[in-house]
Amino acid sequence: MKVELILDVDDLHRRVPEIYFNEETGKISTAAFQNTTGTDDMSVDLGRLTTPQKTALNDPKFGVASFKAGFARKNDQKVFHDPIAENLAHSNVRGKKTSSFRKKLVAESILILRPTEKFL
Amino acid sequence: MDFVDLNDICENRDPWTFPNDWRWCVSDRHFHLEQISAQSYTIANSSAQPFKFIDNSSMAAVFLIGSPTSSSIQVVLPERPWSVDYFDQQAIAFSEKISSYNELTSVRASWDRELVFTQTEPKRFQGVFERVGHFSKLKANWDHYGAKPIDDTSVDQALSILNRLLGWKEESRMPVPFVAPLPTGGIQFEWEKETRFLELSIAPDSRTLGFFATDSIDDGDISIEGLIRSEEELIQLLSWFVKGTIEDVVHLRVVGGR
Repeated sequence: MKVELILDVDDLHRRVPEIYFNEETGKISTAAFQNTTGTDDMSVDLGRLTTPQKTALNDPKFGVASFKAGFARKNDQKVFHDPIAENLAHSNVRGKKTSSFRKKLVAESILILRPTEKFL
Repeated sequence: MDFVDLNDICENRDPWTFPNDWRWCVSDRHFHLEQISAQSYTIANSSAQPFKFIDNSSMAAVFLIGSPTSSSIQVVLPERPWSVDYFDQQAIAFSEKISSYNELTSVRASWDRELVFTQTEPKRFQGVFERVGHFSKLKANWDHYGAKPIDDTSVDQALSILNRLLGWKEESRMPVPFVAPLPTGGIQFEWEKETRFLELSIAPDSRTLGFFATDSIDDGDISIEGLIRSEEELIQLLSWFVKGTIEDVVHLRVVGGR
């Protein structure tokens, strides 16, 4: 599998379950940007290698938030392409996800796909 | 009013029987309430030692305040639900008389099944109580990023925090929190109003309560983040959110500067 160089201007897509959408504020929860449990990595998809629908697994219970790789790097995160057999766009954002950084990510992210079904 | 010493009951482990058709049994630290006949009795008061009950029809946990020593079961109903901790469990006193077994089952606080509360919590909080209860339905990998199921202890603690909030004198000034499950199996609370943001995160199993608070001031944003070590600190944070300045809680720990 070819490993791509991720540029600062590249968009990264993060799948966000409907349960993280706060209808009152119109924002998503900071909980949407947590590392995979037991790791320093948060999985994302490299935007130019996928579509929002694919990132959401074509599941209407999920939306997709997008942010720039450069923004993560400016906040002490390493961003790299990590393709896997079932998802060639798979990438990681490596580093501690402090509450402060997650809050910034919420503000920085753009919702490019909204869920259309309730999660629970 | 006399109350049974819970420790004594737990030691002898004999069923303790009501004068009527309700029977209390004890297993480990749980009281089981059993109905022997069809008659019904009121079983709530607000001034007794708290006990955790198990609804025998559903085996769901029922959190009430009870006085099993009174033959007539005196009832001193609170104006609103309130809570106390006992054996690290949460007990809730309801302001509505419970007069039948069916009513008892309708107030069960069960998070592995449907969570139903009486109509006595402030209506604005009912949705968030139910939402927390539903988190128990989340199965492993619910986010498709490998999330863990939500830990029962986290649900307990989240309900405990909500009940503390209901009992807080400034509750009416506090917005209803947004609650979110965490991929670790924990639960997170979020409040946001104007420039202020407060996040509380319950870690699974450990009962650790983390916080993050941020506010905009004249020359930038200031943030603090750390662990809540006492109820007093929790109240300090809540008080800051509704009426204080970030300087009131900055001693808790500064992680972000101006």
